[in-house]
Amino acid sequence: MYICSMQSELIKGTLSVLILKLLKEHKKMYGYQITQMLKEQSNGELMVREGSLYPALFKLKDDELVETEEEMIGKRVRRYYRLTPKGEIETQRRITEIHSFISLLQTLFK
Amino acid sequence: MEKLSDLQIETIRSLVAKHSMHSQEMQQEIIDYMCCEVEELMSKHMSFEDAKNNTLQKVLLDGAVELEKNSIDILKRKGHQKKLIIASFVTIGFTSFSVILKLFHVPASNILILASALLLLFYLLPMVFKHQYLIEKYEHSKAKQKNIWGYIGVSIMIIGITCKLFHIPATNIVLVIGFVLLNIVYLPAIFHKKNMVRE
Repeated sequence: MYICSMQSELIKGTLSVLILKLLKEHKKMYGYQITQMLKEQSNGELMVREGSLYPALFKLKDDELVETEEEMIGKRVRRYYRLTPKGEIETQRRITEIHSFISLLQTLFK
Repeated sequence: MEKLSDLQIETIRSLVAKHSMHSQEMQQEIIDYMCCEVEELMSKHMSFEDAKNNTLQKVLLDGAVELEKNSIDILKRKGHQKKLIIASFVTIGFTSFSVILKLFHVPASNILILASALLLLFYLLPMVFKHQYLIEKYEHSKAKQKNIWGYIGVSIMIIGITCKLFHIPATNIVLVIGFVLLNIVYLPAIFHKKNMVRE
């Protein structure tokens, strides 16, 4: 099992791409939903801690790749994240980049 | 899945508030995250108290330090950028105005020049280098050292130029030291990094 904290260098670099990919597939998602979706899609192998998730989300927002929308759930605020037009282009670019990097790694580790 | 009552949400909110997070945005996110986690555990037949304690341990006690450390800089940087733009307009505008007055030998322009130099040295420059430091903090291990040399170099240059405007003797040596620091220490470090990024 991979627990994604800022210390795990292998996953650190790909977390933002994973988030962008999920947002591309699901239009809008909130923090906890993202962690659960990653856990589900990886069959419980990838556990993303909030200590890694929120800095990554804030960084994406800071780079204007995602935007937020607030909704009141009872007495608490839920913040949904969705891709901006710039984010959609960047997601495509990063996914292509990661695919070619994976095939490069496969060649190197044969 | 059973939703938490307002009272239960309030209990979680007060727990998060005790940990005094620096930003409201982060606080709201953590409250929602914890509520979701508690609801998830309660759906597996755990009591609210147990679910709350379990989540508290995991999120606030074990994960808080990492969360704060990694998030606050991003939020700080965002707020800092707006302040920096305003500071740049004010300081550069004021400095330009003072220099124009000085060129026309307007009385009392010396005081304005002195005030401009102080503004640049103790207001704008620290902000610029702090902003640079926040950007490069996790990307470049020598960023701090490079920024200190940059700050010293630019400060010496400003002091040198101010002294030159007041015709103080032996200011040339100050300007030379400033030039050397900027051109030999600071600028190569910037261009080297940019070149590395491009490659």
